[in-house]
Amino acid sequence: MKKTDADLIAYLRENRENLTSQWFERVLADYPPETARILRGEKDPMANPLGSTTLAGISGLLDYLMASASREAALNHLTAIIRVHAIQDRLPSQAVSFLTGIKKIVLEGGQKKFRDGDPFWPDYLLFAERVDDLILAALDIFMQSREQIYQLRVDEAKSSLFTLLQRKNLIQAE
Amino acid sequence: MKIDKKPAEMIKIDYCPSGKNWMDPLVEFKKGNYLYPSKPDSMDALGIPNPRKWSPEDDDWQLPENWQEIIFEGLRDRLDRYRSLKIFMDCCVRCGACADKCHFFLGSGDPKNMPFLRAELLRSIYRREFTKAGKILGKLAGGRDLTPAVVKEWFYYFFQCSECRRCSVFCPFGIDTAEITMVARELLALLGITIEWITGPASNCFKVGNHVGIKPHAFVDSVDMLVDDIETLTGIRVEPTFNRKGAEVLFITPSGDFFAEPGIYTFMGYLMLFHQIGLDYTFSTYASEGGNFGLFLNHDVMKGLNAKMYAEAKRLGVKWILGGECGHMWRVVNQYMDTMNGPADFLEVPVSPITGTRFENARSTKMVHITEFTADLIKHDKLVLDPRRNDNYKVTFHDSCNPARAMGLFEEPRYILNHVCNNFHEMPENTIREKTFCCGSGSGLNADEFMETRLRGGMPRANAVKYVKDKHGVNLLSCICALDRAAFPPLMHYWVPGVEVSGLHELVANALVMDGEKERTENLRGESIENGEGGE
Repeated sequence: MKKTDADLIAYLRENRENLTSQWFERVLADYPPETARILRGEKDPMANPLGSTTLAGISGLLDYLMASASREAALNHLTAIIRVHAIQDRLPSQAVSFLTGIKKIVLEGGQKKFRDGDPFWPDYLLFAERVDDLILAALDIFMQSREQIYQLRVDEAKSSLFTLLQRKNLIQAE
Repeated sequence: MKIDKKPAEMIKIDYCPSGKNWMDPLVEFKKGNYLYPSKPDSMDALGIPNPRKWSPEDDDWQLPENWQEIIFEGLRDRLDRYRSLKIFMDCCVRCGACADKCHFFLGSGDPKNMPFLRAELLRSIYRREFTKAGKILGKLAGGRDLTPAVVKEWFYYFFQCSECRRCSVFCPFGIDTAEITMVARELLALLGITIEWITGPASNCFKVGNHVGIKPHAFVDSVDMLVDDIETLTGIRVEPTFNRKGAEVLFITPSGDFFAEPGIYTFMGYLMLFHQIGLDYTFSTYASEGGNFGLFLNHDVMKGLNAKMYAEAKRLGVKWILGGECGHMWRVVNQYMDTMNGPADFLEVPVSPITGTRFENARSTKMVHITEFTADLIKHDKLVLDPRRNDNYKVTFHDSCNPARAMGLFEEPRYILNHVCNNFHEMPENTIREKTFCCGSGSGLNADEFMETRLRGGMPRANAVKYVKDKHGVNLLSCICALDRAAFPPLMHYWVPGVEVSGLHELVANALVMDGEKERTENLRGESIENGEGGE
């Protein structure tokens, strides 16, 4: 962490709870309100895999953004969220858009602190850069997930075909 | 060029989906979110009307001219015949107890996958046409007009219900939402709207004997290949028979068990077990299928496919039927067989020839579940088992929906698991037994073109598997349903890599010490046994 981050990091840590809940609400806004109510309310991860995965994920990402966790750990959390988005009929932009939300939340929450020319502005730019890095990584994860879905489909079809050919003695089993 | 917006306004992004009212029936079909429609050939074979080539992406679905009349008549007929349907249409108070219990809702977040709301898609039409309030007040009374968009919406959502009945467990009125889906699918089929993954297998089953369309000689060849594999593994040549009249028991299992991995290992397990205990049994090449895709289409086809099993039992003159690790076969047998085709008076109440146990629970259907049979063998010390041969597995158990919720079969599989392996870990309580989460591919949804939706529906189950993998290092998901064994491998690859899938009798056979066997150094998959009897 660069020295200039220090004030922003302190701010993020102080406001962690608030930021988490605001960011969670931002993600929930992608769902219809009837769904969001359930994703917000049910705390048992088994009964609410979407909500719990999302909340654990953004919480982990915040740890990284406030320099309490490694980038590797952050990518694991990001992967968990994006793999869910990848099977939810979303466009790539819709799958990663929640990440932009945290910039807006921090900017608005920090009020005057993070405006251009103010002392915290350089801190914010570094923070925003880390978010941008996550957005790019999220696009990669999204693509990998989509490719895997198609691959699973191909594998399933090929496996049936292989078995049929084997039954017909048209190919030699390995 | 004049720009009259500020930069901040220009980049304003609206991430939220439009807040649609549930009564709006518009759905968008694109590849990955629908199953391929039935081919005319398989529809003809099953007597499904309006055979044609069409796609859900078409604007015009080529419905019959009097399609509304067909739906209303079809619904009226079913309301008259099934008192339960009438009650299910009237008594839901939308309390919301089922709202968050559906795996497709939990994976997609789509409110119309809340079971009560999915059912409301049909109920609203019922109200509009069949209730006074709906006829007069229309939308105000929760009624909707039947339009082509409603039909499309039915196709979209009633093929995202896997008829698993988890929601029914939580309904204070006991509404069986799966039966609402069944009726909705029947109504759609009256218009010629159904899917090839259901009608193809069902048609195969009538014509050839099983869903995958393996002809009798190829079925025998398939089993022979597995017999060879067993001999390589154990040094023992098992000798199954086919269509042998006068055998004591007819054994019927889903075709998935002799068609592809990992089901074939379960099938090998059956053969090894029966050989070891000297069971007098035979296969039927015509009833070479336990599954019943008719359940997912209409009651006529379901009845016909179920009758085929009993017709073969009669023809072969067996005393009773033993059924393999299948899911929905058991739902049909336990819930519908008796009133459709039963009672099977020409058969005897099943008695285990090895232990003498009389299976009173099967006195009407005359059909015993393989885990009941095997658990009874173990209970009476009739098997020598070495659970260490499964020590390379850390096992969890998925209660397959139909044996769990249609039979209450909870203890027998666990009793067996606890005797054949040393590392068995349960998933969390609200994801097992009667609250088990579906694989997301049941009821004919396990076609490859539907992979994305299947991964969505299977997410809650995978989430629970991930929990035991993280906590206990679980690496094997065992189950007692052939559809599960087909559906889980891709689901695990996507959500919980490192977890393999097996049937229960694969593990039984790994542990089974057979008379005259050579030293077992490998399990049925050819993997080295780390702590097997070689270590003694």
